[in-house]
Amino acid sequence: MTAILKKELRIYFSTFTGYLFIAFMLLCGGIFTSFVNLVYYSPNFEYAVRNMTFVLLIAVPLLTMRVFSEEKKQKTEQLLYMLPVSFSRIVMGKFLAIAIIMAIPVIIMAFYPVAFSFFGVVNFKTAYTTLLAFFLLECALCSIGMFASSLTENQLIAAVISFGITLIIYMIPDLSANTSSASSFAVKAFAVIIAVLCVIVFFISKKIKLSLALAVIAEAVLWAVYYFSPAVFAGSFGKFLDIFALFEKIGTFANGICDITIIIYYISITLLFLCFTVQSESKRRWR
Amino acid sequence: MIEVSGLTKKYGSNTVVDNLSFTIGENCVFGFLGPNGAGKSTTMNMITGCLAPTEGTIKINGYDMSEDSEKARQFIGYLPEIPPVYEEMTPFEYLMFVGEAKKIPKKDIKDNVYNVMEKTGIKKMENRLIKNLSKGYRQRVGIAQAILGNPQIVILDEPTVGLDPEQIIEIRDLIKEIGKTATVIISSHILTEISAVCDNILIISQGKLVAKDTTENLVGAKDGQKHIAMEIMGDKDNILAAISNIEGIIKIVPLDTTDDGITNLEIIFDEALDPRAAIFNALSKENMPIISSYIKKNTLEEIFLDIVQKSFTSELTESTAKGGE
Repeated sequence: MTAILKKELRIYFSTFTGYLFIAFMLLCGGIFTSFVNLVYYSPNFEYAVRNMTFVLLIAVPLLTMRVFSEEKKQKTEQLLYMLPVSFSRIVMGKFLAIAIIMAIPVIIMAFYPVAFSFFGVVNFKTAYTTLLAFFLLECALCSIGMFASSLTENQLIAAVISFGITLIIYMIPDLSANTSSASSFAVKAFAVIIAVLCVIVFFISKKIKLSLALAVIAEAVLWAVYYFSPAVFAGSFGKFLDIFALFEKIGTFANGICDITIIIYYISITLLFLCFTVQSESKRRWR
Repeated sequence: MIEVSGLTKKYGSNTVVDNLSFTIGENCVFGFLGPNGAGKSTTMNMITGCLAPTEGTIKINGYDMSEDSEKARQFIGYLPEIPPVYEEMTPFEYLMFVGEAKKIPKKDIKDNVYNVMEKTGIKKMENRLIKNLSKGYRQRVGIAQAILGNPQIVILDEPTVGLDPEQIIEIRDLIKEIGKTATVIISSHILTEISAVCDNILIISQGKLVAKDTTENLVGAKDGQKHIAMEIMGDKDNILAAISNIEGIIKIVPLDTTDDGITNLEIIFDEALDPRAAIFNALSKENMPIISSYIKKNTLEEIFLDIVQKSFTSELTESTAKGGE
């Protein structure tokens, strides 16, 4: 794993992608800090951090798009497959390399609150927990980007998939606010989601009977629950969407609440998509 | 060392490798032959763990490639068809990475890297970015990563592609040297290369194993027949009249008659009946001296084409019979 980590870092810094990401994040951090803190004489660094999360929509896909797709394109994935290193270690090595690159601007930005403290009262706890949440959000988005990169050998397609997923996640609070709270709407929306999931299961497993059986059982259970107790579904789809609102959750930290469940949530999302990436890479051997 | 049993790879309904079984022992150089699309690279990818088989097992030193993949891969060094090199790295950095990933003890990595760079002749390029290297040098870097750490099994897919004639000779010598301490499997389209380097040959056609023998046996014998090439002082017709009725001669192929009156011909005869003494006596009786005579060995090209042709014909016969039914 260390060998993979070192190799990835060397490539990121020899191709300037690493420097570019760090410079871009620091530039954005500087712009947001100037507007939020310096222009308005505000010591609340956490607001600047919360406002700059949308920058990750572009920055993270650009950083992660090459992770696996470039290996496939250059045919170096064969080297990774034959080395006596497990897939999980390969994925973890690559993830840690990106995490280190993402951590560099975060560490530099961690000095900003210290600088502000010379001119006013800074709530360090809130500032640093928000910065930590920001880093964990980056990690979660990075794991999604890595998963997207493992699906294709075209970097551009990987970036578009990653950007698409991240954009949907970013827009979830708006989508959630604008969805109907009626039970009939929620049950139909869940029915569509189940159908889409079963199509995905079919594409992964190539087993039509299994996919159909899953679809029939899940839809039957869904409609049965709706038939006997429709009230259960009232406003449920909006709440369901809110589960995936990764960007929105950072606001809790910016408001001064250090919610450990959100930290666990970010770590869980990261691990989940890293597992998907391991599975996706392992599956390529079986094709 | 390598036990392959019932190996099959299917892509949808297309069977690329069909029930392949063979065993390869220690310290020998194996040539892997087959026409394009025969399944050579797929088989190599499966042996090295890069690709999972649809059916069958591969055991490397007793470790199953599916169950103990990490342990099994420890014994293998592999150069795929396209050298798996990182263009943004220098050969030295790249080999250091491979060495570390191959779990070579830290204190030995540098020595190992310099050793393989020396062997493959890339020492003078050690600090140049791989993207700036020629195809031949990239191929050498690929070979260097395969032999790094002295693996017990070295698998090379088309190792001399892109190399100039001098480099080809160097790499052939290197392969022979590696073959003294490790098992080497080479796939190549250049049959002379295979016959020059390999002790044993595996021929696959349409995903099936059609021949496995030592190079000597394959090249030296074909269906119990032998070819003899002769130079005889005398008229072509007289020679044919003298020897054509000798028992054991299957075919006489007169080639040409030189201005000196020497006739060149090839005689194909039944090895069991060996008519060489009778030919000598018959020609001697007619006062037609033999200037030279030697047993002509079949070239690997002939053997290869013959075996592959037979496998195609039998496949065709089988499918026709099935169609008839």
